[in-house]
Amino acid sequence: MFKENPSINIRDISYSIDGKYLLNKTRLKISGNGITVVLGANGAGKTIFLKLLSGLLKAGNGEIKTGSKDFSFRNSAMVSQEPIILRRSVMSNILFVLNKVQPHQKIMASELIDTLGLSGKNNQSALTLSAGEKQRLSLARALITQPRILLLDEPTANIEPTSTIYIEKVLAKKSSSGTKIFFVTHDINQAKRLANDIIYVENGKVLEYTNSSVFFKKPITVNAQKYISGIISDAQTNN
Amino acid sequence: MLKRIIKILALIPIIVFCSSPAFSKSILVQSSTSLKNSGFYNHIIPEIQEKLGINLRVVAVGTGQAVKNALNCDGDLLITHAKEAELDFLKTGFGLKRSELMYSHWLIIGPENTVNSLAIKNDISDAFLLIFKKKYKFVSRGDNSGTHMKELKVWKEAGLKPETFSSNWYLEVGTGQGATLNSSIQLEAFTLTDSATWFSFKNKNNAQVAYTDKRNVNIYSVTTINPSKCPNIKQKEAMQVVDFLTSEKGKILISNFSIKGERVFFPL
Repeated sequence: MFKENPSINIRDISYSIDGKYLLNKTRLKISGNGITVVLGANGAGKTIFLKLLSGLLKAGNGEIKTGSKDFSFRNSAMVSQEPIILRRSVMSNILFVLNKVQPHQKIMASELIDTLGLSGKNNQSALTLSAGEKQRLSLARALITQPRILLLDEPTANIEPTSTIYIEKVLAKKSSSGTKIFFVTHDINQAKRLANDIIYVENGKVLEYTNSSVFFKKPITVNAQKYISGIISDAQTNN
Repeated sequence: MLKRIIKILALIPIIVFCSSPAFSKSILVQSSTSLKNSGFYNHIIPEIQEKLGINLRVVAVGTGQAVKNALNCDGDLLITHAKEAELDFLKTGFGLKRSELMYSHWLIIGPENTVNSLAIKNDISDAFLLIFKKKYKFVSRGDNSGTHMKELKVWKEAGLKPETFSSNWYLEVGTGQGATLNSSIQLEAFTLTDSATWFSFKNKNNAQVAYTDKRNVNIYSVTTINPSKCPNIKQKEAMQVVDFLTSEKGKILISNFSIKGERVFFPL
């Protein structure tokens, strides 16, 4: 069931290390629904942006609001490129993030296992899963917390196509039922498949935030055009 | 005549280059991961090449695996940081001589909002006891590495048995140091690591040092392999490296290694 969520307002957030700004005075008003894909070259600031939204990093200044309220990091869950897998069963890996496991959450975990193509592996040691299966498990663990906002940092970068398909299908379904998704990828075709809107980051600055079809049809900046066409793959300075 | 002299002169650098001992000898070192990840080998290898003409080829694995590899005669030298495992290795007869080389510090890393609660503790086992009592999340490497062995030892000193811990807060990952740190940071959990690894780790996010153990230091030792058990090892070259690293020059070399201005290894 679709529900309209308040927009996410990012007001002048910055993050720096040793005086170097990795994200500088970012100001955005992002739709509270749909899938926002974050694009940009290596080192552009995409992961920093995601980590600030997840609460893993604290911004040096600025603020993030959901509508008029302070942004609650508790409502978000993050899936990173390298999945965190504990030495225990698949089911236990999903449930451990819950403070107290309710019966319905066990059912939900089983459903997630099935939906993500891991049927029959509930009691299998998670360390024996393939890389793609581990990433699917990682997504299941994020989803069991029923996050309002799901943040994914290149979750399909190193995995096989089957796992990518499972992950994309689940994300599309979650998005349509009201979960806001931020997704970092370098895969332009994947971005076209998933994105409702695009944030393009370069050298710690958001250069574009626009509707996906508009972005891919005609990006505003020359560097975004170059990035889409594959000319830029690493952080470049225009100084 | 002139042409002949030019030809001879042109050959000289090639002869010097080919006869340079740096390109003729090398030894295989089975090592703990922290030394490689910290960049320590990049610091010492060029000096050893220059002084001894010996190159070090480093296999970086957990201490448990490094010892296993040495038991298979896959290595000329062992550089690790788990005293009991090293002494056990000597007892097997595969290890010839163990020399303590240097030390770093054990650290407990934790989430920013909780670290202060551990800082006042007198002993690392007190800090572990507090983690247990508060049921703070703790990520264990669980991979039989030197760091894992140390962690188990500290739990024992605290009078606790990890095998009885609830899996709600005691989280075994069974992976290397970098992955363990990444996991503990994302899970907002505590974990045990060493100063060299922490200073060189780039993905710290909001995590901080919760406790520095200055009483029980993290000792790295070099152990030579017994040629009567492993006849094909390069014992002479391995001994030369050990003699150099434990000499005054070696100690100065170790002392000069730093990460972001922090000195991390202290020679013994």
